[in-house]
Amino acid sequence: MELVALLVVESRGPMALAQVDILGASTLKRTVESLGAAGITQVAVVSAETPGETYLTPAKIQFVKSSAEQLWRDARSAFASLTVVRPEAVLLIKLNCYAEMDWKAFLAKHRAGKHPVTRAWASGVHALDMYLVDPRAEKEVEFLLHNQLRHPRLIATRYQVSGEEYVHPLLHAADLREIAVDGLNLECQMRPAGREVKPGVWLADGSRIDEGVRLVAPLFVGKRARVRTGAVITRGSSIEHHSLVDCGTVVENTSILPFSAVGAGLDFTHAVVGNRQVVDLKRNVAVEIHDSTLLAETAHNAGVRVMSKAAALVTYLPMQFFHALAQRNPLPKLAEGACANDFVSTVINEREPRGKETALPTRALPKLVMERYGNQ
Amino acid sequence: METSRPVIVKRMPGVMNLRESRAFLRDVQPILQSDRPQLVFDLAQVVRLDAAGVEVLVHCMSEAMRRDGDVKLAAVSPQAAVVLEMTRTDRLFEIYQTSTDAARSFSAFLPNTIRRKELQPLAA
Repeated sequence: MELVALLVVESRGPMALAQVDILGASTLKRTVESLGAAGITQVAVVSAETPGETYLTPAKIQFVKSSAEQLWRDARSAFASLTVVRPEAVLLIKLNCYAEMDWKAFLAKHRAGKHPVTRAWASGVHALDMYLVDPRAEKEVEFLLHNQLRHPRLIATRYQVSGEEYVHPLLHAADLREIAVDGLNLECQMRPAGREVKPGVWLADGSRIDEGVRLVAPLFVGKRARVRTGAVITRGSSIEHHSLVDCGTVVENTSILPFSAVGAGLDFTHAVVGNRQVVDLKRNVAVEIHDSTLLAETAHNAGVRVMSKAAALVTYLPMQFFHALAQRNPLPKLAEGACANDFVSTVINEREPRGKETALPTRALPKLVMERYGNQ
Repeated sequence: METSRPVIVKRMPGVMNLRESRAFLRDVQPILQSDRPQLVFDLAQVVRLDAAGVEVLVHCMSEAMRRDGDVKLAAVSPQAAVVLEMTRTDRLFEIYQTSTDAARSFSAFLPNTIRRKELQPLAA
């Protein structure tokens, strides 16, 4: 008998967390591939965002592009199309958690149960929005999809997730970080999509680590990501694909989401960075960054990326010339895209021997700041 | 040690981009050029702080120190705190919970009012 699955991906805020890469692959991709490996023949994915990944699974995948308003209506249509093949059971999942489930045990429990619906429960009393349903129980299915998989209409068989399985909610940016840390610390079956070049240091194909970069395990650098010289990547950080960490930036216990470019000389700790936002997990606050010297997005299109790199190469020497001119001015001028760290580093570089500081010339005065507070 | 010189508390605007930063710098320039300026910047309303805003803060501090004065920050909003920490400039300033505490700190050491890192990291 055939088994089919319906995955519904809800968007919270600007993005659907299930479609955000964690250690090189999204939760959606990992779930679809695990379903395929467990023998599920057909998977329908209803989402407001178009998935841009390649799935390595024997299961037949059907993507339904929807909108936030139409999501559950489209889910009902997708369910109807899935049941054409008369499957034994349909797996209904709202992807608001990352789960490494034993799907076969889940099915066995459903078969042994008396009810047409079986619901998965994580440790304790935490119910998951994950059900196995008999497609002939139309009322049950209709009710479940109508209330967005929150709870079944009648009593459902309970499948308790065992200690060997791994379930983590995926509702906030902090969850992305926690799942990534669990993956890097080998506390679940999730492995970074790359090769382990040193114990705990995972690099994907095409990632570029410049000389003088300090990598402290565990960490992951994704496909075609670049870490420039002097940067420090440490303590469970993940740099996702096509991201850029500029010179001297420290990334500690932070996830840099795909297509993000973080500026030079910055310090990111306990944060999730991407989509022009920094989510500070210590303060539990999301800050929009509109300054491209601090945080920018790289182009999703490869051609545009190549063109922008070529433009940067052409303008490199003129920029250096103007930068040198600007540094000759006695007071720092506020130029568009100016960075405070440029100013601070200039002050550090201009440090003179202590014996010469008796006259306190005007240009040497910012040095007092550095002397008093240390060369931060 | 008591001081009779005035402490000026300046409230920063909600958005500190290039344009606002310039305007802000124009406002505080006369104060910075006085003898031993004592300034407190209240960042309670700041929701957007760009690199230009950070640079103004560093510039004001260096100008104040040039004249043997100081600049202190007070009531830093979470958004501003994130940017200050990100640009590694938070450690250059004394940061206080309130403008009153910051103003009082010019005449007396107030260890309990200095703002510290609020929360421990979620995942160590």
